Amino acid sequence: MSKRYRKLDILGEGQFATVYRAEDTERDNAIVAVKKIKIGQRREARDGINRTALREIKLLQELHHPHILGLLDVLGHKSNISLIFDFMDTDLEMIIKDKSLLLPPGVVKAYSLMILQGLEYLHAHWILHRDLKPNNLLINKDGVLKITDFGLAKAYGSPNRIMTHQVVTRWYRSPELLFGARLYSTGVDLWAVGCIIAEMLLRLPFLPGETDLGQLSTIFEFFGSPNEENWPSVKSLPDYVEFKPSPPQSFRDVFSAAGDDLIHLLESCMKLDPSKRCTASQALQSSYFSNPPGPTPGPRLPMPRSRKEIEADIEHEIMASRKRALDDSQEGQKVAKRLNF
Amino acid sequence: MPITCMRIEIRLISSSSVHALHVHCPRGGVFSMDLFSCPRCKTSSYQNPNMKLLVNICGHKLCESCVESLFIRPSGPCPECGVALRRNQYRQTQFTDQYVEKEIDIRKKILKDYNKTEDDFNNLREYNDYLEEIETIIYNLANNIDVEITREKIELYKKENQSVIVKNRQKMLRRDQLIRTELESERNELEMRNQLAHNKQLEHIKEKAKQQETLIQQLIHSSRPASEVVAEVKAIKQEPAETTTTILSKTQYKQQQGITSFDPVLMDDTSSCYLYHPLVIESYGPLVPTIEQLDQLGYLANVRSLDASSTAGGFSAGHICQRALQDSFSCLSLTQQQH
Repeated sequence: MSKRYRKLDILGEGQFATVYRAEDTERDNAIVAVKKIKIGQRREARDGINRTALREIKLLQELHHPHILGLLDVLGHKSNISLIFDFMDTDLEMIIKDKSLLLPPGVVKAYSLMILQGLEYLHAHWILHRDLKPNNLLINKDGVLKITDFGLAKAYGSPNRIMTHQVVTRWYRSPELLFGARLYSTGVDLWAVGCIIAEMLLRLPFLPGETDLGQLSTIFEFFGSPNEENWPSVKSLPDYVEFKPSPPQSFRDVFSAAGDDLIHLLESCMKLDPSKRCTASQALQSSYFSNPPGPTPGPRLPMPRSRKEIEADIEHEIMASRKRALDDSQEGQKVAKRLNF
Repeated sequence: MPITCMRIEIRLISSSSVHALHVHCPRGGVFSMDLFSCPRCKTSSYQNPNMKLLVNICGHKLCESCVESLFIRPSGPCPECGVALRRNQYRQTQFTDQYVEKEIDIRKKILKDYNKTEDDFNNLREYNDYLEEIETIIYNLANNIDVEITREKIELYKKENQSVIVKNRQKMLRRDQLIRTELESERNELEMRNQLAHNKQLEHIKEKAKQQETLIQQLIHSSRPASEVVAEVKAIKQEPAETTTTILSKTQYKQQQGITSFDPVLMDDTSSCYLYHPLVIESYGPLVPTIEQLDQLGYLANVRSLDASSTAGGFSAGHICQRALQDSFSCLSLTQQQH
């Protein structure tokens, strides 16, 4: 790695890259995240840079928005590529999973708002993210949410470019992708946003399918099976499978604590027919966001206790008890206790 | 006969052992622990198992009947030490040693005023010193050491710390109040729930009796075979039985009663509401029509139509047209300076 960035510790390791925490020595030792792309197999390496890394570099260089993770720098060293990003403290998955945190309506609204604002910007630039999930929504200590992982993102809107349907983590994958659609649009991201908002309310994945086919049946169990009426020409999709007709369930029964405006937003994000789904801009203009309670401001958003903080607490506790023990041995007496009968 | 003999034996042993017990007190004196008799009337707990020994602030004990006869008036002197006592300050003994009883009384009185908590001190050391001081005062008073000086000290402390004492007393009072109201509401809730469950059960029993009745009536009057009638009534019975036996959980009950209790954090609506501002992207070119406008303006007629599988995937000709227009419009008006 270059002299400018000093590696501190490993944050995580994925399939394609290792992420480090590092200091930027030319910017007052500001903390940054360094994503070092792994060199793939020899066959892949011969072809050039990893495809996902290339996508990220290509797209992120031109995108600048408060809710999209900023690419600060790209380093090339021999055959290695490192991407330098803003440092983020946690992600939405951690927050949803940390059951000690409360997610009151204002907090859910704040996160939904930030996701949709970032998404509106992406879609306005003709980019589909195609891999939205809580794990890819990073949050820093100021409570700002940023969309990340553009390894699957792609420009859309051209009829000549056929796209793959093998995108999006399964639980957040929309029905048209599961049916193998080769030309799709912003609906795939809006569906994922609907799943994420639902997950924030339930604190559990909304539609957890075990397999691709299982995912479809999970979806249709809730939304009712598709037909020409609720999804015109669905039968012409490449991988269409006939499902046993079933009636839709109501959102109200599952999200009993949610307000009517939120239910309405979920319904419009998660229409079976992708052409009936709302766009990110329409979602932002829905009454859910303009109604009270207002979104919780960033600094007041919850933060999960990181492993470091817990360790620091334990350390502090040990120090304190050690100090007390020392005090005692010096004075030869224990801490007095108030006697009360 | 042998049984009674044994009893007498035991009594003798036990009474002698009680008299033999002596306790060394901090003062150095030796107390006889003849616990079971009133010092005045000499009634012992053996003669009267229901006898209650009472004690007052001086630590001298009296039995209940002696207190009643001596303190016909609300106040009077202690028969042993002559200290002025009030009748309503007599309380039941908790410990066998009267020194302990006296100490408890003094402690209660002192702690009423010496009620500072750890938060009132800068560090643990000061708080510990404070607790130490309390113990010294209590010890002195209980053992009649420097009583006058100690009393003066207490008076001085009271004067100096009046505001803190009052504040801490109120704090404690409030806390007690809170706990009491909480307990009260919990008890009420439980009662209501029990009542509800009880009512349901009664209803259920009534319902059952009624069904039995109708079944018998039908059997009497119907001309059909008995097995058919029984089956029919059974089918009707199945449905309501399920709903009547469910006992509501706490949350269900609350929902039914329209009670919603929220953590104060959840009710926080101080944050201002969101106002949508349309996203503006500087393209340095003419404005691109929206997808709805494209159709109205006839642009879409020039775009090739899509097959069914594309429209089902959420793709539309509008997207193609709008993107193509934006690509061609952007940067048309970009000048050297802007760049």
